[in-house]
Amino acid sequence: MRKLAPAAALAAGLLVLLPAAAEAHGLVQRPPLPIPQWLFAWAAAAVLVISFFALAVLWPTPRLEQDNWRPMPGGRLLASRPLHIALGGLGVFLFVVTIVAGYMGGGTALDNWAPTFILITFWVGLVFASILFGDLFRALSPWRAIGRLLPSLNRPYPERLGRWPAAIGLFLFVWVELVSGWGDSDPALLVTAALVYTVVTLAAQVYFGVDAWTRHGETFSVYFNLFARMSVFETRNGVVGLRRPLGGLPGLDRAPGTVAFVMVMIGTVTFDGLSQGPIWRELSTGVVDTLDGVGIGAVDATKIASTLGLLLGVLLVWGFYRLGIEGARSVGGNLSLSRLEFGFIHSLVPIAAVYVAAHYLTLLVYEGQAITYLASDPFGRGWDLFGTVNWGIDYRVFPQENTWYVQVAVVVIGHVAALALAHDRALRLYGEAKLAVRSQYWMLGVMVGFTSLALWLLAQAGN
Amino acid sequence: MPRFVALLAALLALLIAACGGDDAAPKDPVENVPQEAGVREQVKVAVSPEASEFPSVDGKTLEELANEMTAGPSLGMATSVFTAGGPTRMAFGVIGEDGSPVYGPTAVYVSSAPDQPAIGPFVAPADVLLTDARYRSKQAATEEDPFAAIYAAQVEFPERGQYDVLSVTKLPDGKFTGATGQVQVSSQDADPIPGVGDKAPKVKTDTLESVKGDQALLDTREPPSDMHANFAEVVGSKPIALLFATPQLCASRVCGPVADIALQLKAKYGDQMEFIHQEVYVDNDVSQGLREPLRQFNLPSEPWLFVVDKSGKITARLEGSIGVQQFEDALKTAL
Repeated sequence: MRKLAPAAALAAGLLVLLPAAAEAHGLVQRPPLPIPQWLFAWAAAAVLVISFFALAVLWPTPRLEQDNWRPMPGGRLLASRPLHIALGGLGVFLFVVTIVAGYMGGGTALDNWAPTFILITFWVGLVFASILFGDLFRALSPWRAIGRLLPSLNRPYPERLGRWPAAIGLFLFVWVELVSGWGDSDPALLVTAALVYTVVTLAAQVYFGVDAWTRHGETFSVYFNLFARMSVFETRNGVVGLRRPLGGLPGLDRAPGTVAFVMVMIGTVTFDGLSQGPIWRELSTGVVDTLDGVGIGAVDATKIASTLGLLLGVLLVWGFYRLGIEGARSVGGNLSLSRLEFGFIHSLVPIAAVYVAAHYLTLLVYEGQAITYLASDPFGRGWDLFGTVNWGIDYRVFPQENTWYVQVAVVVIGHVAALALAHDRALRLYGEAKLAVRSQYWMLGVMVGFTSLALWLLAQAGN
Repeated sequence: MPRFVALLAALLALLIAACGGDDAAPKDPVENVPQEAGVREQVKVAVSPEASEFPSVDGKTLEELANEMTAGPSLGMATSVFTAGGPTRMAFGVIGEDGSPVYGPTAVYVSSAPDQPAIGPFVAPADVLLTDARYRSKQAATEEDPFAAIYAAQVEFPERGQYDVLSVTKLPDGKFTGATGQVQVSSQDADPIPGVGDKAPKVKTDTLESVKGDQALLDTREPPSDMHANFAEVVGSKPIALLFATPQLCASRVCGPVADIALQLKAKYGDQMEFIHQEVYVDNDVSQGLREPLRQFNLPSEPWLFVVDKSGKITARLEGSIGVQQFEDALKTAL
């Protein structure tokens, strides 16, 4: 138990950061909670600690590392070529509708198909869909569908590039989402960015081949594929099959840039949560005032501050993960830092998933409904294609007062899942249960830290 | 490659379809009123009252008129600034004893005291407050018991002073029900707020730039709208609908939807004029008082709508609760 002390101290330190009461998000307050918010954090941490010791005692040999995929009834039909062509066609159709709507549709944000579809239905909705149903985006990707119709040079994909292009693309997309303001004010600019991305993607596909680029370079394919690895569905050799939940994550390949990609996944959501709270507002005001003082306009200054914030979020998360890995290395086993860093990175995918789920749940559930009325008139031409144009957003579809409980439950479940994945990997890496458990004291610290951070961020957002 | 060309052709066809004509037909705002408990029908008949439907004054005092009515409802004023010497807008709601709004053909009578001869009737058409569902803010969409419509009459007060008001609503059974209130009327000269025909003060309204990127300060509506240009920069170049309102901090049940109505009408008139929404309180904190643009307009309350034509002159001024129809009519004065 000697090594537990620093990790536990780290986790406890993070728990102290939790506010005693929910901060306001805008002016909307969360209904009073039956117990103080810090008690939720301690309870969540306790669940993780109990789970940790339960894993140590009841899970002595690797289980998740073993492949148990088996074809499912009707699996060949679900993976059939005609169905894939149809889904690819659907993806291309939706992409074109989005581009046209961005240029032609009136209004902004929830009054225009393009930002609503890109930033809510696609970006958030597909995360949930991927976790539930597997790698749907592989079939729906418009870039993959179009790429298959174009010639290919099939040049070898440089191994050292790995997932770095995807990681950079992810950071840029999140910048567009959270910093640029194009989604709120300029749908045309948003879809122009999508077109630029399309040109780059198609060119890369022509050069390296569709599959090589999709696997490592295309941001959204990599993003949704990581989440899909949590799903029980997986397609292999033209057949959809079943596996255990989280079963795809241990098989994640060690491509360079994978750690960076996952850090961007978690770090950017971390910033999004932070940016809605008073701490960031104060920090940002200081930066904006300073930049304003040297002649940079307040809006540009805000964007610079937010860009720095995004980077800071990624670096903070990366630093925290690195701390856990350094700690794990210190227990022995002669494992290199790089091996450990790659070795446990798959365990953070469920954390990335719950960060998205907890943080964007209400966005999807409430604002996501806008797609129903926009679908009837995507170009703002006065159409009513599906008879839904007069629909609105029903904010009563999910009781707001229950949001916090769902968020806490999701965060805890995700982190317990991450703990199980890390424990399972440690058993394989160290080959010795005692050493594996000792290494996981540090991962427990990381998980408790991420749990505390997630709850604190949700408290910052206040909904 | 031929398949790629076929795909391109299909996409081109989609683009052509998107460029097709605008099929939008004008929608009656009353259609947005829920049908439950016959409210939509009640509002429908309340939209176009005739003066002949109401009792003539025939030299009766306000008290005598009131005694002819069934008592019960109360009068909720939605405007506070009234001037003598010309028509002045009086917006109000009639609230039944159970707290629900009362809808029906309505008019108002006024007099300087209950025992003085009544003046009226001034018909008060109901004006729908509910926008199309897609334009409803979270605040409006989660309102438990929203007001479907507000009444507004153009009342002529002969001189300044205190007046008693009697609103009269015709019920489905043909009987009248009355509610009373009081208002303070000032002279037009004493009205410090810019009026129709005046040059609008060139105020700097808040933009994302002026609030240093803090969207929460810029707009309390959820989700925030994009109606935040700087009035001072736009005025003189195109017509403007300038709305002073605070969707989150609005104190009554009838002022919240005005920003939603503005957003709905922006979809219709946005290519002809600028829509600007200015929040009301400093740092969205009521205790810190009004923001500078409201001070420069000498506004004592909110919400207010000023419609300004291309030359910078005010063509319409509406205070308090504003329905879809009156908002739209006001916009048309500048086009």
